[in-house]
Amino acid sequence: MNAPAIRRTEEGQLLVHQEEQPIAVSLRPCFPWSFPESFLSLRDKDGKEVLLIESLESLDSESRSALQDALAESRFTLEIHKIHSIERNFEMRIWKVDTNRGARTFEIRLDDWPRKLPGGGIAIVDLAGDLYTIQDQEQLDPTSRKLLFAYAD
Amino acid sequence: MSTRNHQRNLNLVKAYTDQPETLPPSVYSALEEVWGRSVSVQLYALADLNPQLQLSQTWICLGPTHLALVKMKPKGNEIDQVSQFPREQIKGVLEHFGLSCTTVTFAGADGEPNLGIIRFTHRQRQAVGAIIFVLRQSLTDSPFKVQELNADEEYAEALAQPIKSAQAAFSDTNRAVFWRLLGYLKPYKGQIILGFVAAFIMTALMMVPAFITGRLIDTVVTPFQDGEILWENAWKTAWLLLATLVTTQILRQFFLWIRLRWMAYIGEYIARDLRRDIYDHLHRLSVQYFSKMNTGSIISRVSSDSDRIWEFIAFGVTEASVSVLLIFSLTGMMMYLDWQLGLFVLLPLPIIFLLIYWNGKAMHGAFLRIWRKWSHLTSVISDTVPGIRVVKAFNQGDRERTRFGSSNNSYVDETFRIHNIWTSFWPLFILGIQMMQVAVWAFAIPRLIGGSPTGQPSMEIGVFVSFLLYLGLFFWPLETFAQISRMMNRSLSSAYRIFEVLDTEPEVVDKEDARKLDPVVGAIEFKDVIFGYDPVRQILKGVSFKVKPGEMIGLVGPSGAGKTTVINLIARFYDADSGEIRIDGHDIQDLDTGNYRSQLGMVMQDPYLFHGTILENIRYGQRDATVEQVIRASKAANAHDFICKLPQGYDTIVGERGHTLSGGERQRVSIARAILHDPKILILDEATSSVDTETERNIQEAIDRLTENRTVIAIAHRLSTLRKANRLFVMKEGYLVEEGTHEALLQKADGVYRKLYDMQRELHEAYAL
Repeated sequence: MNAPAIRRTEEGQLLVHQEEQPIAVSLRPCFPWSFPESFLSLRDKDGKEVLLIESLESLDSESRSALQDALAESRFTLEIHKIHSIERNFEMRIWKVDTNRGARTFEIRLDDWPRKLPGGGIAIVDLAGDLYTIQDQEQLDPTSRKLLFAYAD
Repeated sequence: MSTRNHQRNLNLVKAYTDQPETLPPSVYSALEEVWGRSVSVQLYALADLNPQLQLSQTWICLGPTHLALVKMKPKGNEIDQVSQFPREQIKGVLEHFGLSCTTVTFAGADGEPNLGIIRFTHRQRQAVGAIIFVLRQSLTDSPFKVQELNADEEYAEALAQPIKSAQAAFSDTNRAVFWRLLGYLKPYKGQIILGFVAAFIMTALMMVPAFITGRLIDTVVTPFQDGEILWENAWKTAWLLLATLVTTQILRQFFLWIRLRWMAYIGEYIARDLRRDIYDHLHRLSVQYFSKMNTGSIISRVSSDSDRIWEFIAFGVTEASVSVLLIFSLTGMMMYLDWQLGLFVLLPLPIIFLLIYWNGKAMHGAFLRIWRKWSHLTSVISDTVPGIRVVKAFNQGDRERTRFGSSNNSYVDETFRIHNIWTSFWPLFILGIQMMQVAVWAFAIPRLIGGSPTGQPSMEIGVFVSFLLYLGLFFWPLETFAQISRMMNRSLSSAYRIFEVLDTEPEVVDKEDARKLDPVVGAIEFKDVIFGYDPVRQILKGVSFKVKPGEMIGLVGPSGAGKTTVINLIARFYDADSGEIRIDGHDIQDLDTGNYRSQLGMVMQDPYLFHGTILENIRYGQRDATVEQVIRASKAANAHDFICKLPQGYDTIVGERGHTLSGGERQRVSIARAILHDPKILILDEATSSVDTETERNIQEAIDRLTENRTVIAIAHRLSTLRKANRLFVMKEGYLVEEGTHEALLQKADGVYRKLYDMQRELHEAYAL
C-alpha cells in the first residue's frame, strides 16, 4: 500500500487519497495540548478512524502542510493579549479582553479557575465552551498582569 | 416564549456578549433586495470567524427557499457581500469541531463544489445548530414541520442560554431586587417599627455617657477644685449625673435586647416565608423545570440562600441604619461641642474611607487566590476519598499524599499573603488614628491652657474629654460599613436566586373551568401530536394512535425514538406543541391535572422510595388504605414475603438513610404502591430492565396482576416482557412506524420490529450459553 496522500480543499475539507476514491475526513488530535502535532486521528463522516498519523514527520511535504493548515483551524483558540477588566457579576466573572483575533467579552463561572496547560501557559473556558489561552503571562502589560494576579500563579 | 423571557435574553446578550442582540436592519434590507419584500427570515445566526480566523461578522439567514450568508464590513453596520443559494441545492451539512472553532460546510450535489463554508466560535453553536438541524431535517423523508418560530427569540435564547444556566439571570436591577426583598418585611410592620425604634433610641443613648462625663468634669470636678462650689453641692450634682449614667446604660442594654431579639425573629419569619414560597412554587412548576435544574442547586436555594437572607435582615439592615445614624449623631454632637475641633476631625474622614476601601481591594485579590487554592485542596480530597479503592488497588497512596501535601502547602503559602496584608494594615491604621488623637490634643492644648503665658483658656476640659470619647466611637460604624457591603452582596445574590425560582412560570397550567373525570375510563387518543423539548428539535413529529380502555400497549423502538416522550405527554408532564391528546374523548388540556393524575399510575425503571416505612411508601398515593389492603397489594406485587423477612417488617424505614433494599425489592414495593393506588391508566417505563432474571420473573408476575383491567402503556427493551400486550406500537425517529400484534409485526420481513426482534434473539443465543 502506498503512503496515503492528504490534501485539503479550498473550503478546508481534508481528503485522504489512499486507494481509488478520496475519503473526506475530519481531524481529531488525540493530545491537543500535550502532543499537539502527534497522534492525529483522521475520521470519516461516520466517525470511523481512517488513519492515525503518529507524527507529521512521516508524511510527504504536501500532506504535511495540508494537515498543518487543518491543525491550525482545529487548534484555534483565542489568545489573550490584553485584559481590560475582570468583574464579578453574582455567579460569574466577566472578562473584557483583546485577543489575537479581535476584542471579546466573555463570562466564566465564579468557581471556575484557569487551567494550567501541559506545554506552559493557561487556558480559560468560558460559559459557551470557547477557549482562551495566555501563552506567557510575563509578556502581558502590567495592568493585565495585575488583573490576572488572582487567577493564575 | 414569554415576552418577559425574551426581553431578559436581549438584555443578557447586550450585557454579556459583544455582538448585536438582533439581526441588524441593514441585513434585512440587503435580504429584501435579493429575496423581495414579502420574504421572511425563519432563523438566523452569526458566524463570527472569517477564513483567516479573525473575529468578524457574517450572518447566516435561513429563508423559506434560500440560505443567505451576509458578510459585514469590519466596522459599522455596512454590508460587505451577500451570497445565497437555494435550500434545495444543499445536499449535506458537514460540521467539524475544533477546540474553539466549528467549521460548517454546506455541500452541494455529488461532484459539485461546496455551496458555502462558515466558521464560528462555540458561542454561536446553538444558534447555528438550529439552522443546521432544520436543513438536515429537510434532507430526510421527515422534513421539519415549520411552526411559528420567532427568529429573534430563537437567536437571543440560544445566546443567552449558557449565561442563564450559570447564574440566576434576572433582568431586574439590584435596587429592584432589594425593594422586593424589603417587601417581605411588610407583614411584620409592627415588629419592625419596634425593632427600629429600639435601635434608634439605643443609638441616641450612646451619645449620653460621653456627654455626662464631660459635664461631670465641667460642673463638678473643675468648679470644686477651683473652689467655686461647695462640697455638698458638688456631690448633689455628681449623684444626679451618676444616676443618669446608670439609667442610660440600663436603658441602652434594654433597647439593644429588644432590637436584637425582634430583628432576629423577623429575620427568621422572612426566611421562613421565603422558604415556604419557594417550596410551594416548586410544587407548582412543571417537570421540565426539574429536568433543567440540578437538584443541588434547587436545594441550596431553599436552604442556604434563605439563611443568608435571615442574616441580612436580622443584622445587615439594622446595623446599616444604626451606623448611618451613629455617624450623623456623632458628627452633630462634635460640631455642637466645638465646631472647630469637629471640623478638624471630620476633614480626614474621606482619607480613612479610602484607606479602608484600598485595603478591602487588596484583600479581595488575595482572597480570590486563597479561594482558588482552597478549592484545589478540597478537590484533591473529594477526588480521592470516593476513589479510594482505585488508589489502593493501584498502590498510589504515596503519590496522592504528595499531591495533597503540595496542594496543602501552596494553600498555606497563599494565606501568608493575606496575613501579611491585614497584619500590616491594622497596626498602621490604628497608629494613624492615634496620631489623629494626638493631633486633636495638639490642636486643643492651646485652647485649654491658653495660647500664650498670659492667654486665657477658651475651652473647658470636660468638653474636650467628651470630644475624645466621641472620637473613640467614631471608627466603629466605619468598620461596620465594610462588613455590611460584603454581607449585602452575598444576600442580594441569594435573593436573585430565590426570585428566579419564584418568577418561573409553570409550563403546564390548568384551565379555570378544568373538567374532572370521575372516573377516568382509560381511552387514550393522540392526534397528529408534535412535540419537542425545545422549539427547534422535534422529538415527536406527528404521532397518532388510539388506545381502547383496558388495552395493554407495548411501546418499542430504538432509544431516542420518542417512547418516553409519549408517556411524559400522557402523564401531562408537558403539553404538546401541536395536535391533540384526548383522554376519554376530552382534550387533556381541559382536564383537572390533579384529578387526572390521581387516576394514573407509574412504575419507573428506577423506582423512588421516600424516607419512611415501607407501609408509608405503599400507602403514598392512598393514605386511607387499610392494613389488609396494603398486605393484599404487597402479595399481588410479590413483595409480601420479602417484607415479612425483614426484622421490622412493614415498619422498616427505607429511602435515604434507611434500610437498603435491592433494586428488585424496591421495584416490587413500587408495584404494590401502584396496585393499591388502583390507577385507571398505568404506565410502565422499563420496569424490569435493571434486575436479574429470577427477580424479573417475580416482577413480571406482579406486573401481570397489576395490568389486569386497566389501560396500560408499557415501554420495554426486552421484547419478551411485552408478550401480554394486546398491541405493539413501534416508534422510530419521532414517528409511529408500525403497529399491531407481535405475530402480525413479525410477518413484515423488513419491518423495524422484525429487525429488533431478530437482533435480540441472536444476542440471546450468542450469550445465553
